[in-house]
Amino acid sequence: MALAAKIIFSETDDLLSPNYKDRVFLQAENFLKVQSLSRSQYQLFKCALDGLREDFQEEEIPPFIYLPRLVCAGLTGDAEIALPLSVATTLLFLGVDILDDLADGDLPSYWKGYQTSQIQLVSATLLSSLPQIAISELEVSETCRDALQRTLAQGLLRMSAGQYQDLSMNGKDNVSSQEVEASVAAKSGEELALFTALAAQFSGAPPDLVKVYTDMGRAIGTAGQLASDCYDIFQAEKSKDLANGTRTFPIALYLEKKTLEERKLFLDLLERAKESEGVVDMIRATLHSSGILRLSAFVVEVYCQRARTLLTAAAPRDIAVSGLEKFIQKNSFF
Amino acid sequence: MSMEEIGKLVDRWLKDEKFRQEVRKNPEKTVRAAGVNFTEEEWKALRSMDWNCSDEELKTRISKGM
Repeated sequence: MALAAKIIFSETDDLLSPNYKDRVFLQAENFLKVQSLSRSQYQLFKCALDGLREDFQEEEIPPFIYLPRLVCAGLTGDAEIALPLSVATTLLFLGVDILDDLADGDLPSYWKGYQTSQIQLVSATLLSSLPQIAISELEVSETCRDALQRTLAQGLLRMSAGQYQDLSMNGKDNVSSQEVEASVAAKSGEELALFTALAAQFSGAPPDLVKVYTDMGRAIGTAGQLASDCYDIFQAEKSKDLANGTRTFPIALYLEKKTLEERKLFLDLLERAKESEGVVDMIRATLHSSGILRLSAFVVEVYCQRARTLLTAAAPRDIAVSGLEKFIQKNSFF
Repeated sequence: MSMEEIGKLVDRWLKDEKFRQEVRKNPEKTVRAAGVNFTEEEWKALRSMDWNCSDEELKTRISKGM
């Protein structure tokens, strides 16, 4: 029994090995080289991919790389088949990430020297062309390929709706926690739902099982973004969300329970926080003493619990279980 | 997720220090007594939380997320 457990651990450990991340980035780079129609176009793509590699150097298990692998391994027992799909999901994530940075006015320094229009073009190409080509090259039946392309298109459409919802809440006075939660689920939840859905379809899972994996991805993605929103407000050295006036979940939860007068005062602080570090500290202290963090942790935990239930329902092969559990547990505060 | 039910918990939690203390001692019983109707998933989440850790400690447990 102990030996069996050890073997399973060692196989799972391999599924999350850093070597896979390196291989995916290398394959993505080769893919971009082959697909680029000019040297300058390739340079633009390479700048984006190198930036992503740099950003995720410290991150052990980026979901866009490892979730497709774990789902494929959980369904087929073969983790290797996921490599070309992980390349597609990496390109997809990259496109979304750049678009997000553009929307937040938060472009990383490696874009210095590039015009905004050039960066927009990279993002548009990454979202509308390259993952679709990567999927068209997968060794699957025509029916499966059609289903994958449709899932990709529908996922992008849902994420677009989530992003629009997110943008329209920026700086608004009366955003409810329910609206914020829905927008997080539609944006970040849908992104991971797309990764797990594609992997399940690619692995030949029947539709009802594809749905279970899709819902699990959505729950993990939503928990991850809500946790990240808490991290930004309560732990990060500098809060990007407070500086940008973003109405994240803890803020919406706090505001909706305040009287009109209290809300007015807090909204004024949020406005001033865009310019002053001192006001940011005041907001952080107010939110901390209100106990809003524990309630946000509870909502994160509900999504983690949902993901655990779905993982049980999916019943993946042993080889993938602890890796998928790790993705769920990563977001939990407990 | 029922934000309406979670809203009831938020309301009491933010306004009632005694309620907070009771939740820390016996989360499920206290929240049930407050008339909150959670789903099974939400009760499981409530039970899996450590309500006794301090807010300061909770801060250090926040994941950076995805």
